[in-house]
Amino acid sequence: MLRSMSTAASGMHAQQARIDAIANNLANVNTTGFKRSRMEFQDLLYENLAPSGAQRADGQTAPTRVEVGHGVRVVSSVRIQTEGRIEVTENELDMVIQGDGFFQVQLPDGNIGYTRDGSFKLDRDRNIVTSSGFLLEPAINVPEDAVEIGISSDGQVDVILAGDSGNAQSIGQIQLVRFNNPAGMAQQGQNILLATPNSGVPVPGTPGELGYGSIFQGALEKSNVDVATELVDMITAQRAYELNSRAIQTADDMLQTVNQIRR
Amino acid sequence: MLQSLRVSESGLIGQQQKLEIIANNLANVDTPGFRRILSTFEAQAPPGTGPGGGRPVIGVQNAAGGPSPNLNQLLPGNLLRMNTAVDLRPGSMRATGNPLDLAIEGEGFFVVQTPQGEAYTRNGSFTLDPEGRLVTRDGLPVLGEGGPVEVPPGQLVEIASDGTVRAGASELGRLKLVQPASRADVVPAGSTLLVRAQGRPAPRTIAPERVRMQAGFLETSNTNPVSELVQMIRAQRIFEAGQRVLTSADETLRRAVTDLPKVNG
Repeated sequence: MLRSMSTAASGMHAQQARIDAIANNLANVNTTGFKRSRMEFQDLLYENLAPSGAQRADGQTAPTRVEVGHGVRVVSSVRIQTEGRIEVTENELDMVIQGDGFFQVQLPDGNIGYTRDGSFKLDRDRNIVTSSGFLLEPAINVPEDAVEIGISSDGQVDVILAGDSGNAQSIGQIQLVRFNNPAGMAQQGQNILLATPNSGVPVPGTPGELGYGSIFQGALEKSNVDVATELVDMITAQRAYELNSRAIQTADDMLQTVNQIRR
Repeated sequence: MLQSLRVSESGLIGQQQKLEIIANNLANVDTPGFRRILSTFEAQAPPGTGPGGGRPVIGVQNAAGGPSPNLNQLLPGNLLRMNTAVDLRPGSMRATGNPLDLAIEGEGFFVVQTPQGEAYTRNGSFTLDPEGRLVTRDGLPVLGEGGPVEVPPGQLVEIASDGTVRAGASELGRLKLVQPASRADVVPAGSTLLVRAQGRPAPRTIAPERVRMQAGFLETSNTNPVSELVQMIRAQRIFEAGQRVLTSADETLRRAVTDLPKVNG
């Protein structure tokens, strides 16, 4: 009976972790390039309560067993890699990756970070940087007298210089990387993800190449959090929490019944 | 009368174990690839009363005055015994968008390599380990037809619906699926793994042309909260009834001990 109680308590704990993940998803509903995550669970060890080789009523040795489980545990939180909705901003340094792939950025510690947040800006040296000031990798510098920046779907960055009668001039090429297991990347905050042994090594490629997404200028990828889905998840998590508490209550009722055996 | 104490005790313990199993099924209502545990009860003769031998069961004799083996199953002296099995029915599918999440369509189990031998799972939430092998969340390699599937660094893999793992044009392996012939052949081992039951045949490999899986999806738990709740109510009420039987048997015994001598005296 006490086992039922701790088993059900582990179920309640799991649903609580699920609510935590949903709360974080909802908090980031408007975060550019944010990917919603969910908690992943696994069952705990089982115990065989039936003595092996027990005699059955018909005299045969029965293959009976009583496998009693001990509940559930949280194994990991997993990001869901579906694409977020696209919002047109008309800002010429805002970019969306339509399809698979990540931008590479140079982090201050020398490592390379990966992001799908394409809200780029210019720093004071006129380099293309993220909102947090991390340099796009490979670095692209926009000349002082550029009046217009054009980014093609294959990542080619062109500028039109002042007084140059509309002749485009190439200043760089944006590269994307893909991972075998993007859900295995580590979250660093500031919309930056890092490669881990679980994600596999980054595979660079040109936007629009087979398997890689193409670049769309003047728009941003918002989060892939869908409020309705999160709310439905929240309701199911809450009901599952209640179901588990019901099991505790039933165990408690049965213990009370036991206490009534001898009046 | 002492026998009825023993019988109701086995009934109470049985319902208690049933609740433990239901609690575990409910706790795993959201565990991908979880297979619920079924529990059934069967009557078991008390130890030493096999059919055609042993001591006669209380109160019932055949014409010759010996024990009646045919009635053995129905005798009031039988104890309740529980038996568990894994419910192999599939759960539903949920989209995740992760290329290494795999859901099996129809029957079949993935084969993973554990230090204790092969284990089987419907939980296709896979990842890569530092050597680039396809592994479960616990780091156990997932087996293809030719052993673990290894992804060469710097290449992107794609898993087709027939289980073939490709990197570009080259084939890295093909995921193997197996199916146990009966649900008695496998037992749960935790971490959403099933292992072969002792003394039972190993699950057979599914023919490659019948393998169907979907990348970017996970299979949910096959626990049905409604049926678990109904079973929970049943278990509780049967438990209460068992308690009543026990209490009235106790009461009868008490009378036998205290009142009968007075009547005679």
